[in-house]
Amino acid sequence: MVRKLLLGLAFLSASAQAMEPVSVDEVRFATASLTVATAEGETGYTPAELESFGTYAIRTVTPWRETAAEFVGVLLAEVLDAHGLAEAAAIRVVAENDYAVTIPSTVWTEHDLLIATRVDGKAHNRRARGPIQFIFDMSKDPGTGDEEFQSNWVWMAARIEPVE
Amino acid sequence: MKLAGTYGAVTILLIAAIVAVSSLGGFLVLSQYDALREKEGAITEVTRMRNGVIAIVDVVRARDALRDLRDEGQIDSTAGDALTEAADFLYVRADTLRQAIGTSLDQSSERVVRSLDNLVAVLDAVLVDPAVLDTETEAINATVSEATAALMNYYDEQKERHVAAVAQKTHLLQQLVVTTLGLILLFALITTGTAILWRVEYVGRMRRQEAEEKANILAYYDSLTGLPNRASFLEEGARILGEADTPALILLDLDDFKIINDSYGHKFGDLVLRTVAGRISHHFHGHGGFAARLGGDEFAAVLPIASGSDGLQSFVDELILELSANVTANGLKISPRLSVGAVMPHMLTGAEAPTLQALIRAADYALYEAKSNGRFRGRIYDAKMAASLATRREMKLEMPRALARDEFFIEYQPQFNLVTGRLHGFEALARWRRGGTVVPPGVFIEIAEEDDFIVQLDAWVLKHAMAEAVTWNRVAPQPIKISTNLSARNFHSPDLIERIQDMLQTTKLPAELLTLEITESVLIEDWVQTLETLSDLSRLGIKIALDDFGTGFSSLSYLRRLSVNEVKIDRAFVVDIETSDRTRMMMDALVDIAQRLGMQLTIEGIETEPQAKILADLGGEVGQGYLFSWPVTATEALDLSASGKRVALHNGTHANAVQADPNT
Repeated sequence: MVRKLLLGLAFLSASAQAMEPVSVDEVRFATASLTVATAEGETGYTPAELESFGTYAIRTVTPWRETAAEFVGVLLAEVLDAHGLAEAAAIRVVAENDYAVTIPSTVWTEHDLLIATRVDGKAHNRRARGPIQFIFDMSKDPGTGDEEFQSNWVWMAARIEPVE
Repeated sequence: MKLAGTYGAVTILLIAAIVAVSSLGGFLVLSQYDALREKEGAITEVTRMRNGVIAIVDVVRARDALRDLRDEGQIDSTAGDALTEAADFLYVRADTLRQAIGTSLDQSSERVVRSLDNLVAVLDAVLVDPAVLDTETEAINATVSEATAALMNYYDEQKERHVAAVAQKTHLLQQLVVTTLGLILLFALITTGTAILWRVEYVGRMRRQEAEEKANILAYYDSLTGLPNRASFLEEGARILGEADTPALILLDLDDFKIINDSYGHKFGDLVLRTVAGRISHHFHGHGGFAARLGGDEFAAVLPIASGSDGLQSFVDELILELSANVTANGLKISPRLSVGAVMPHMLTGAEAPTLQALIRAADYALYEAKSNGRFRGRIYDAKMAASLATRREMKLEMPRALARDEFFIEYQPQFNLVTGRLHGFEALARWRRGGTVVPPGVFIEIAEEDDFIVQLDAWVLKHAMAEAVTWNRVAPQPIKISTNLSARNFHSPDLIERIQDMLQTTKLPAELLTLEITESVLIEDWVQTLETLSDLSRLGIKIALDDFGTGFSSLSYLRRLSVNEVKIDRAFVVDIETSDRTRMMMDALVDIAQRLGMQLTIEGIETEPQAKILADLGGEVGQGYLFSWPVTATEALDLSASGKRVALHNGTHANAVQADPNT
């Protein structure tokens, strides 16, 4: 447990230092929206709007990609912070296909959780698990590829709300 | 030791068993635990079922979108968007399932992936040309139904697998519990067994230890008195003598113990021994010393610090006094009297090393002196004793050579019939002419008796005396008897009968002319053996005489139990026969006893005529003594035998008797 915690802390510090914002060119995104719902109200973000939080890049494989791809997107932690949900114990994420999952805070504090909007420089699309997909750096953090952990890789993400 | 070995082996076996069971059990439990952990199917299947359920939702969404599109008829609409979405969802779902199932693609999973792929292809075709909705309605519906059916089947199968996996896990858990309980039970059994075996081993070890201690006590302690025995005295005594500066070795001997035993019984005798032993032990321990029972009525002690000859003498005198305190039991009461001999290492003279053996020898000689001087006293070894002991030791060494060199010779003490005055026979007496002087027989016989030399000497005397007697009898008018002394050692030698038989054959001496004189000392040893030897000797026709009668303590009791042919009355009865009525009366009784028992009575030490007269009057039969003759040489004995003369007994007593003879 302690080891896991230390590992987590290492990644936390790694995310703070290693993750540098990247600038991106404009692309045509598919029609999509990620709504953040808080007690104050709901805010919907298109992929382009989402990218205004500041973009980061992760080159990694995923449980469905054998070849690494470069994902670009925003950090969940920053989005939550912007909505005053930095201290939330868990969030509930719902996908366009009504898939829903509860993600405890450890998932985004111990790992880099990127809300990807682009893959290999192109706008993310639905058949590639876009347009808005939760990505972890599986290449550097292989535990995120475990079967039990895979429920956190939400794709076609549509809505985020804190769990009371 | 063999027992210990067995237990050692068993213990090793048990330890091996514990190690084996631990390793095997540990391996079994760990592998079962691992198997249980590795059985993750139960979780996997739940994830897969969840995926299946989501896929069904996706399929239903696609079906609804198709229906809506069919109703609207054109693709550029909300229904069209919904269908696009549904196709995308299914595409990703099919991909996800394909990835999740991975290499373990079984029939039902394959069917799901294939049916979803087909459905995506159909949806894509509809999105390109909605007209196929009408033309291929049945095929489209069939594809949707197949996808639903495949997913339901997939779901059921995963559910069954999940149930089976749970059942398997439960089974593994049960196995683990059973194995663990079994191991605990096995350990309990082995532990109990080990505990029992160790207990048995412990008890066995304690018993062995006790037995060893007991054996040690038996080996080093005297069972009657509880005092250390001879063996431990030789060890411990030597140790103290070696360590102390001015030690003394003291030998103690209970006087007349035999009489105490004979008169009061063995039980009381033992009590006296135990009491005296206790007192000796107490006394010496009080002085930092050590006391042991050497055997019989002999004790030995070592005193670490003695203050010279005078100090030792007063110590010994006090000791003897203290030991003489009364011993009472059951109305019996005696005052034990001990004789003591003591020595200190510096008292040894000459080149003699103060070894334990040398000190014991010296103390023994001092004890011997104490006994010779009337008992119930202590003597300290001194220069005079040392000289005397040295002489005795020299004599002892010389004797065998002296015999070979003819330094020994025999004198014959004539014996006469007190009534007729005629020669009765001779007693053969060994003499030793040592360097010009004749050693008193009382000295050298005693020394010779210390070892087997006496047997040689006896045999030598017997052989010569018998040969001489044959010669005398050829010339004498009447049979001439010959008697010799038979020492205790000789009497008990196993080939005695055989040797005497040989001599009788060789010398041709008629057996009835030979008398063997034995003393009480012969009779003290094994009684049964003694009777047997006496009976064997009688069978040969030899006469047995009990010598020195009246000087011992149990003479009358021996007379009662033994059948001897002759009793020799000691000179002590003769010395005061003229002056003591008491002696006279006793002699009268002895004569009477001898006559009634059919024994010949021989009286020793007759030195005066009145003695001879009185003894003859009392009925004494045979006598010897200086009145008649000193001991004579063999040649003189031959002459005396041939002459046939009678000794002159005064007052004409014998003449009268002789004259009266024909008339009776």
